[in-house]
Amino acid sequence: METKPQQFRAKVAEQIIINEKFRFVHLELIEPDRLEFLAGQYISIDMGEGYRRSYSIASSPSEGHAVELCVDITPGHKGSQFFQKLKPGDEVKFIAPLGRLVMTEADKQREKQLLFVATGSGIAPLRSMILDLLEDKGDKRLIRLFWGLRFVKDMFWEEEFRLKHESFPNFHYKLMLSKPPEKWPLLAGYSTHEIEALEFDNTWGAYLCGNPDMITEVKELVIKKGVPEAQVHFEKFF
Amino acid sequence: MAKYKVKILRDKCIGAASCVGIAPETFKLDDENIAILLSEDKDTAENIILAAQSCPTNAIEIYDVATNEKVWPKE
Repeated sequence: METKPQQFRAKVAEQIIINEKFRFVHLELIEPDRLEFLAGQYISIDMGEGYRRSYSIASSPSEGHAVELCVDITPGHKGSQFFQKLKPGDEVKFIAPLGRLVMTEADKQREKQLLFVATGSGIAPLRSMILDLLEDKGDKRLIRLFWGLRFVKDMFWEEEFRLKHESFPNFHYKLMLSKPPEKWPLLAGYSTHEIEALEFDNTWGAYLCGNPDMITEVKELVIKKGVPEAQVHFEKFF
Repeated sequence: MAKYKVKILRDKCIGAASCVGIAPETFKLDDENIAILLSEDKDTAENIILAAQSCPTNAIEIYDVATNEKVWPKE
């Protein structure tokens, strides 16, 4: 059931510098102290003077008392300065839950296999969905995740997803680097090329988040391969 | 009487629906998943401003009816 958005106050419990591009932010709720949301939804953070930025929730809805965010702090991004200044203990105000990149009951009935595709921090809402499906709901459907990053130095959560694959045999994951180093032994290039080689039909559901070009390409590709347009869900910001 | 005049920039809207969540009497998504205006005086003025501020692409402009000044986004 969808919850009406409301204002929240939360405290920064932890802020981990993952690498020079990404930060992981753990917000512990103060008032209200619980947030009911659907995996895939986002929050709108008050950055002061009326300015707001939207961030997808990366944690599972079962957390309830907290939200975790994966934030791109690349210089020039409007929210990057805000997060660079943020310290543990600081208070943050946001509105939540927001957004429609969610899996409804009707989607669950129609979609027997799932394709998840993300670029960069677009992984956040898909991680929330994957945790929710695998760990909280024990979903046994085939889940294929493709995640595109640029450089080796951008990589994170690869161990977490590898362990998920070991624990949940229905979960398959490929990390793609578009700018790999020479002699890179793993997958290089764009997710689109990998997806092109796969077969799809009208029982698939696709959930896409990240770069708008990726979304357009993957959307067109899977629709051409038989996935109904109504079963292609996406979020163009992340 | 409405405090604000609302303008939706259709080309900028990506259908994120934060406006619909915060001010559901003011905004809804059409068949193309783009925000359209329902009314300007059903939701509170505060929620209409919040809805505009929460739009990830700044696709909603808000004008003060009394002064015709743009209230959001700030230039």
